[in-house]
Amino acid sequence: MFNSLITRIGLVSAVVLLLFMASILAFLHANRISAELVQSLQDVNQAQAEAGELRQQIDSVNRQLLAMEALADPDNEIWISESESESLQASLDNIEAGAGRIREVLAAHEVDERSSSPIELLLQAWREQVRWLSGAVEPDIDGVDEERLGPQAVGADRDVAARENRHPRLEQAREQVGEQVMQLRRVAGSLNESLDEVVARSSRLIQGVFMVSLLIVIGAGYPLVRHIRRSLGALTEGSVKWRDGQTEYRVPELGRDEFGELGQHFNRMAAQIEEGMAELELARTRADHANQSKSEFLANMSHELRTPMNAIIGYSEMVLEEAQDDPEARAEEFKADIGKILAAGKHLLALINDILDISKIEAGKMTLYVEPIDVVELIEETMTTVRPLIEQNDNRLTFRHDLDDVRIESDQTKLRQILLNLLSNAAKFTQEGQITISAECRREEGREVLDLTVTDTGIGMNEEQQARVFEAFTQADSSTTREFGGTGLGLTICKRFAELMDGDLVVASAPGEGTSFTLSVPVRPELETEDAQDSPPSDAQTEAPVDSRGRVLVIDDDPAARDIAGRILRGDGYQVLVAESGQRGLELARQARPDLIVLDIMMPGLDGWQVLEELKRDPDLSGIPVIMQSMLDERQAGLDKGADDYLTKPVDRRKLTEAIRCLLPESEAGRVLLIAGDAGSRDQAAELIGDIDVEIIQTADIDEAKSMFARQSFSLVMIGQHPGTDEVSRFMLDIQGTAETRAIPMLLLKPDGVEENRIDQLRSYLSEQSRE
Amino acid sequence: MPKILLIEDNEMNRDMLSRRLTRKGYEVDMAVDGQEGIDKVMSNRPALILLDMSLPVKDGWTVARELKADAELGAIPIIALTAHAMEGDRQKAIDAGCDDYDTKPVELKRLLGKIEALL
Repeated sequence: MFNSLITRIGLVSAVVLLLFMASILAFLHANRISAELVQSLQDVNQAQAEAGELRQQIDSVNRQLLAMEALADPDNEIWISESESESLQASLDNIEAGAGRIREVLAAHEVDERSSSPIELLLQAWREQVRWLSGAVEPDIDGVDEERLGPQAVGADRDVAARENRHPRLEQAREQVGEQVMQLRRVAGSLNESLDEVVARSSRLIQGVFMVSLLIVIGAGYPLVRHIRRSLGALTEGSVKWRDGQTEYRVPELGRDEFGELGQHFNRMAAQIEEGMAELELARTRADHANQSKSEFLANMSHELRTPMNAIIGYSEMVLEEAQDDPEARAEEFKADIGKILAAGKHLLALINDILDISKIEAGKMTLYVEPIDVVELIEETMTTVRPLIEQNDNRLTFRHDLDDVRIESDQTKLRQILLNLLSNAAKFTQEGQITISAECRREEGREVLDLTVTDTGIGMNEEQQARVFEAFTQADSSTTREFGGTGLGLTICKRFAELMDGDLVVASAPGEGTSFTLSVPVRPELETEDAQDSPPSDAQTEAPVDSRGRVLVIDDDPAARDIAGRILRGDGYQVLVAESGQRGLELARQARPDLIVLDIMMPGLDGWQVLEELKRDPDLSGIPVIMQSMLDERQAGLDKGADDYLTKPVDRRKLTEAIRCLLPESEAGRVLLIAGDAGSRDQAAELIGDIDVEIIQTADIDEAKSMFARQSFSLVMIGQHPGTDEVSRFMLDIQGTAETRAIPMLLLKPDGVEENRIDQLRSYLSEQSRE
Repeated sequence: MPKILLIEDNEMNRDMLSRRLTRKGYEVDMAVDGQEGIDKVMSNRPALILLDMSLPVKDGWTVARELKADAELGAIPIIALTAHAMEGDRQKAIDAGCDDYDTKPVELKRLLGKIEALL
């Protein structure tokens, strides 16, 4: 506790204060003593004065008495008057009082007095004499003198004796007074000495206290003041240095008191400021770097976009010029130039798609669609796609794996895109070499990770090139683009995709020895992604098909566009399925057999054209009407390739619903299912229905009829000639046994026709259904 | 007709520009990198140089500086061509000693105007 500065200052102050208080008490005490001494001295002095007076009074009374004695003659009865007697008495009283006071003063100073002093004896004699002189009594000298005056006072003649005897008494009294005066003088002397002593002592005390206090203040206070000054100096120096930006400065150790603590707090604060500044600096550097990367990206992008544009515009102009200059020129002559325009255009499109992908990733809008995938199947499919490219440079492609379980849960489209990119890179940069794909599973941090490695024996990269290989628009060198093509964004996108999948893509390479890229992805994602949770198929199952006007599949990679189309269509009473990629769209189309497909053209992976081609090639799907939509107006190309309608984005609600209404007539209510194996039954049915607007769907396959029934609603079921009578009747029983379908009428077509009135009834029913 | 040397590494651009200039009656000589360009300037003495800036081996700025440092060759006018249309690119080309500057994609009429002005 004595480390505390405040305690130390307080302690010193308290000691000094106590010393002063003690000295004040001592001073007061000395004062009181000296006051008493002064008072005694005054008393003594007064007593001395009174002693002088006393002597005079005694002499004066003696003279009066002598005079009166001389005049008085008792024998003749001459007495002194009463007033004279009283005056004498009063003088005697005075003398007695004065003597008493002197005695008191002396007694107070412990000077012993005889019990019966000469003055008292004198006064007694004088009182007798006064009484005698006033005639009150006979003089009785003996009675008085016997003991007090001794043998000298006894004489023959009373008067003479009395007179004679008065002298020794008087002298004795005078001596006594003188003695008393001497005594008083001695007392006064000793009193004076005491007073001097008291004053001297108290002044010594005060000096002592002063000196001690001074010593304490100097002894304890000086180091204290020096310490305070030094500490404040150090703290001030520290704050000045921090103010000037030297945040690494630290205040030296200042001891274990408050200043020491303050110094430590200052240092801690400085450390925090330093740390904060360092963090800010780091954040600023990062932001600057990011900003610089953005600017570089923009500048590069501008350059990359201009290069193919340059070719497109230049060759187009040239072809025009040449065509103008030489009207006879044949198409053959322009073929090469137009080919270059097309190639540049394709390159430009690839660039734009890649840039869009990157910006989508950067904006956090790129989502994953996680589904079970057979990895081996995926790799083999991808190998088939790239094989022509691989063989261009006389390379060999092999695939080896040691997987027990080939199924993983991941985003198929993105995995495929990454693999395609890695394989085409390997093919580009390898001549007459070996390209190998290997797949293996390992455990990492408690999760299973799949490593897909694409290794080539191509030109390889040095370390600097490897460091920049995932940066946008950086290729091994500027001649690479000329020699090998590519947008310079492929690997950037692959890396981002891998990270998006909670995995990574790394490179290992050496110049001249080949390159190997390893993609690592979790075998199972940690969390169910949003896309997987509300995946389209579950959507499809929750909505009862019989309630909708038809089932529309929207294929579009843009979530906003999917959302808008979905809302418009749902609002119009259609059941909506969505797919976020061409691949997924094809799968859904096969699974769910929609009544209509709305197809976007610009999509990563399989684009709209490829999807359309695939749809039209598949006999099961080719009948489904397709509405294409795109930012670009390529209506004729769309219609030529088999699309039923073509809309330009942004999608207009009215146009979309109109297009759908045209392609999906309100025919569900007027749909007739005909189960028959022969053409005759169909003719018969058609004849029966006449010109009422209903669609006849014919099938001989009862299983197909059942699945149609589950998907679509029908107004009527007609049963014609069919070999499987039992199957047909079970189907009819099923229809009647199900609540939703019980109301649908069934008509058995007999070879001999239907009654006329039944036909009328049927027609009016169908017309009504069709109007609804 | 005056002889123009086109130093351009991009095959398409070289092909395109040379054909169009030839059609306009110029005699066009070509080089695919900076060093070849300098060599051809020395051996063929063109009347004007069209110089792409991002060239392999020796970039356009170096080529321009080296040519302009030569008393005789420095008199040959140079038009810088670059796809970098950013602010400051023009100044960078002029500072390197180029007499004029044009951006890609090339607009032929504008370029011809510049060529004629310098010849």
